[in-house]
Amino acid sequence: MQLADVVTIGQYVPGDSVLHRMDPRVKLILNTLLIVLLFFVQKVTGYLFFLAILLALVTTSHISLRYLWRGLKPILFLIAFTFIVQLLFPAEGQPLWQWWIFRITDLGIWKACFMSLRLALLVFVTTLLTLVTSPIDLTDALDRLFSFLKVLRIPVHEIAMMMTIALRFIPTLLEETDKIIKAQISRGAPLDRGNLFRRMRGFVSVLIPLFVSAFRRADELAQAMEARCYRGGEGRTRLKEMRLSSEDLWATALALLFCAGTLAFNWMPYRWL
Amino acid sequence: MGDFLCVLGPNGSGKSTFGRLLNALLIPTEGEVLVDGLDTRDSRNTWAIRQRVGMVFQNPDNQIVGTQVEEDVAFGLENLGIPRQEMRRRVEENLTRVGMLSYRQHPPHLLSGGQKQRVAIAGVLAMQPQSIVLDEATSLLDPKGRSEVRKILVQLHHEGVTLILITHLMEEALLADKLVILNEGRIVLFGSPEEVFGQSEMLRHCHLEAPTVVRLAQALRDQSVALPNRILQVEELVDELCVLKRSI
Amino acid sequence: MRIEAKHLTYIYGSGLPWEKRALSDVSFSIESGEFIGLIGETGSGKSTLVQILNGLLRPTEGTILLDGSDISNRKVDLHRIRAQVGLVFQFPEQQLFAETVGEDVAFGPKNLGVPKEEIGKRVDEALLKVGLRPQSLRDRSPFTLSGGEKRLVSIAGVLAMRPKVLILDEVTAGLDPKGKKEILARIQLLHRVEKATIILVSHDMDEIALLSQRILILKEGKLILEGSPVEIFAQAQDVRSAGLDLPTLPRILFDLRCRGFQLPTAIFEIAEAARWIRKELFRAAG
Repeated sequence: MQLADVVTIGQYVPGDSVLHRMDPRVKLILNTLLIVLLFFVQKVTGYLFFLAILLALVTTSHISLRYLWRGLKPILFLIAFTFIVQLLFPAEGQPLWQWWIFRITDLGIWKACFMSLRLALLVFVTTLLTLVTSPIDLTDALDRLFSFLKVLRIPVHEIAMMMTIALRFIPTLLEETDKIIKAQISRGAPLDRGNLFRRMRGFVSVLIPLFVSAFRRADELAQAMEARCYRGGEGRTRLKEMRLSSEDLWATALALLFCAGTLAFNWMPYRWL
Repeated sequence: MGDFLCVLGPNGSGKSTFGRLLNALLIPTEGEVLVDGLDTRDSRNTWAIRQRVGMVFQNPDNQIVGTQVEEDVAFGLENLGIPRQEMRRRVEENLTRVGMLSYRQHPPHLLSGGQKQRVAIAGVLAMQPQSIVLDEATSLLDPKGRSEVRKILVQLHHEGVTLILITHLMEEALLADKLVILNEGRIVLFGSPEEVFGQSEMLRHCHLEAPTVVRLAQALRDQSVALPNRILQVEELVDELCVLKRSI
Repeated sequence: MRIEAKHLTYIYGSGLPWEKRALSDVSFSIESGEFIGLIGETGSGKSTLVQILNGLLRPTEGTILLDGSDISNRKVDLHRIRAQVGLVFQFPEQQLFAETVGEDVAFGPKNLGVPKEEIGKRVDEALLKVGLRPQSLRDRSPFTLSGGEKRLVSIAGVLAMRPKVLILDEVTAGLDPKGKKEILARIQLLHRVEKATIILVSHDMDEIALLSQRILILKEGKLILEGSPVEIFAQAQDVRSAGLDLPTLPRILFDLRCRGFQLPTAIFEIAEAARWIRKELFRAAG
């Protein structure tokens, strides 16, 4: 049990909730819709409403908040940074405190809360999507949704196939990396000790074999694909079906209602509230 | 048709090249390869040829494309444009044939080498080829994996599938009806296993060796022990010797 | 170098849902200069054991003594261990990375801090030990070599560190019969000339039986059999229960013995076996 088990790609958590079962294309579209919505909300109360609904969604998916938190952790720094910058370098408002180049204004405080909340919710929404949809379903959904772009000579199918193959090989490559690291450490490579510079030199001994091996794999895989009559996207059928169900229609309807509700808060009396 | 042919030879003898000439992955510099009457040199025939001649490669990982077992088995069918219903049926049928049905939604990296090769075989079988070329398909497997794959080959042979096994493992040659030994790009021996293994001089020249059982049987025959000509398995030898012991 | 393993246990992912006991209470000792064969099915714990021996992993329980000093102690510098216990992984050619063969083989000694002047000498010495010619290969790119040569270069890379113990994990994997013979002959030579302690890890009983002075058989993380080849062959049932089988010739002889043939256990040559069987047949004739 090594590297491959610790790194979960896309954080997908298998389950059987409504959110899991929905058509991935619908999920992708609704997700985009929600993200766009976030940029039209003008009141903090609107955001809080949004957050409440989101938490309700999470409950339906039966996924513990722990996973969502894991998705948020990497961005915490960015959120905190955004908050501080907005706070100390406000664009407008009555100054409440000043020191050197820093200022805090009344409107500045609201704006800071605003921006960071928006950022957090953005990540929240996308994390939820990747938690209830497997990477392969996402790739498939993108493939189908964008297939009309073929008219513009954009190789949609090929891009989707590249992504699928990449996803398929990530665990395999991680295993190989692990093995190469062990082999080089056994030769005394400074991968687990020493200063940064030494460690970087050590990593060359891991990266090069990995690259060489990846190219070899690609070559062999291409031959195997040709041997099974792969010739690009022309004339291909698909094993997996994607059919819209009533759940998808209900979800879309609810999502639209939700959008309307969130935007309604924009007409509340106060500036930010 | 229905033959089980084994192509043996040391590394560099041209075995793999030979395999790839059969399904038009390589085109001959001289001479021709005809598959069901179709010439491999004509690129219009390529896809038809590849549907008829399936290939399983040496590296279990580098031929699996799907993120789940059943997806990979369906890959060839998707390429051929087979309708979904028929695809489902064939995927299920062939996964059962190789004994991997219960793994249908497994991701490939969780499978053992032998299991991956079985999935690869299922993927080729699903395309309903007339023959299957196995290019050193067991050489990277552990003994368990090798015996899993060999069992399937024996079973397929029973079912009448034409098999061409390219290998350097002599024990695998015992599964076949006919053997071809290549050395430095040429055919140096051809015949049934007993016929070929009897030619110890030529085998030694190619740095090959008949399996232990065969050599022991030959050594006994050299010492005037009356053993039948065709002894290829340990059990056969032991049984024959016991018969001799009782009858003496 | 003397190796002593006492009650080694290794658990992967202790406390987590995928917890796995790779080794349970494994104890053995290896004398300096011995040729040991380590065999077991996939998943029997071979790789784990071998990685504990060269310090890549620390045992969850138990101790391991190299020449009397306990390396399972937290304070020990594992870096030094790796210089003394060289581990060649399966498909070692996959770790080649340098621009020239010479540079790649020098990687090990360089990391150990061997002085520049001496590195060149060590590289040549290591290449010669695996049967390659330093002059012709030293400046070539490792990626232009044949498969067999690449493998030998990777082994040289470990030998250049002058380890006291050499562990080879499936060193013949993927080679054809000729390649296998050559590499095993080379290892045998190393053992005789350098008097190094060698641990050969393999699935292949034929290989192990041919070269080892003593065999260790692992099954599901436990050491279930230990002994010289002859001793092991006398216990075919136990060997089979470990998912392995005797090498072909001893297997034939064992089966014959079970059916009433009186044959000695220590026969390793076909010609000799044939003579004995014939003798038995004519003895029965009276």
